[in-house]
Amino acid sequence: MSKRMMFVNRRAPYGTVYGLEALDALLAASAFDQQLCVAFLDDGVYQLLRNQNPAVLDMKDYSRTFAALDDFGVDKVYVERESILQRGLCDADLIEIRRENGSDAVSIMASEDMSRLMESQDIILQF
Amino acid sequence: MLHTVNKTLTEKPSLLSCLRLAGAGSDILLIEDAVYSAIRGSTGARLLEQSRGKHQLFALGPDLECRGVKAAQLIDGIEVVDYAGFVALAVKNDTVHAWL
Amino acid sequence: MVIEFKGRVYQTDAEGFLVNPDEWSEELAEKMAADDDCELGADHWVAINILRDYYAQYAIAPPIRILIRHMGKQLGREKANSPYLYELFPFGPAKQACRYAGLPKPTGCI
Repeated sequence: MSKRMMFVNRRAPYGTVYGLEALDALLAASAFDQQLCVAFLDDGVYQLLRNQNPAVLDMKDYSRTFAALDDFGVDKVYVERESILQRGLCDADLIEIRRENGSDAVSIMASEDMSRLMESQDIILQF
Repeated sequence: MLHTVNKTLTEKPSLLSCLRLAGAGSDILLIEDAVYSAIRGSTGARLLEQSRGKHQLFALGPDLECRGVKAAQLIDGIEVVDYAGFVALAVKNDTVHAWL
Repeated sequence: MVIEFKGRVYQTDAEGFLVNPDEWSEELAEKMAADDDCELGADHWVAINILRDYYAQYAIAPPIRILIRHMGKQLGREKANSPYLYELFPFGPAKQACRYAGLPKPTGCI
């Protein structure tokens, strides 16, 4: 039976390895035919900022991999709007993630909708 | 004294403690994940704006660039420094207090 | 491990993946293949170039399914299947094609 699995990102990239680990785990999980989605809230929204250039600090820009998520069977990306606003950011500051058919994979949503979505999962893994 | 802060407010309240305890006239340098706190409109930026008269505020350029944060997104009164600037600040202030 | 080639030494990990992807060259890919008794033909190069382009854009190797689909677009439908990919790269596309393409060893089950 396929399970509804959510990967929750709550940390900024680069300062810790959590974000990169979350992506690795998500891509590994994508090989097992589950219903996967990924959520970004709190400091996790920083992972989606445009124009990251970690090469200056000799690190890999894994934010580029988000654009390939649909290839790995992950076609739902949820972002909590309150987390964006608290950080002085707006929707346009975030990278675009499109599905192969061109549709937008990113849903930016209010906390209450994020809450409902989380409540509907079978498995939640937080990073 | 030079104070450095390296975490976001969500990760740790170090910035709060630093702003509460850093002496008047001391320099505060945001590095690593703490550079996000300088983004205009953020919770961290509101705290920093209140302390602008009391401290000189700096943010480390390579950490901004790494994270995709542009100087234009920062609150006024933050000076962006490179590594040489970091060293110069450390030399000018004979004590560096790293808030972890 | 290292690869010695034309007077230069290239660092690799224990499985032969280049440590520094910037050192990659077509010649080096041919050398890696020759060491495996494999000669790179046009279809090998199609696969290698797809992998390199994908990695340059997304910082990750594509899933096999996506690699095969892109190969089909360039080589025709009869070559767009996993047996043909394994015919080109008997050690597996992840371990062999990515290595020749100078990509890091793919993580997970790609």
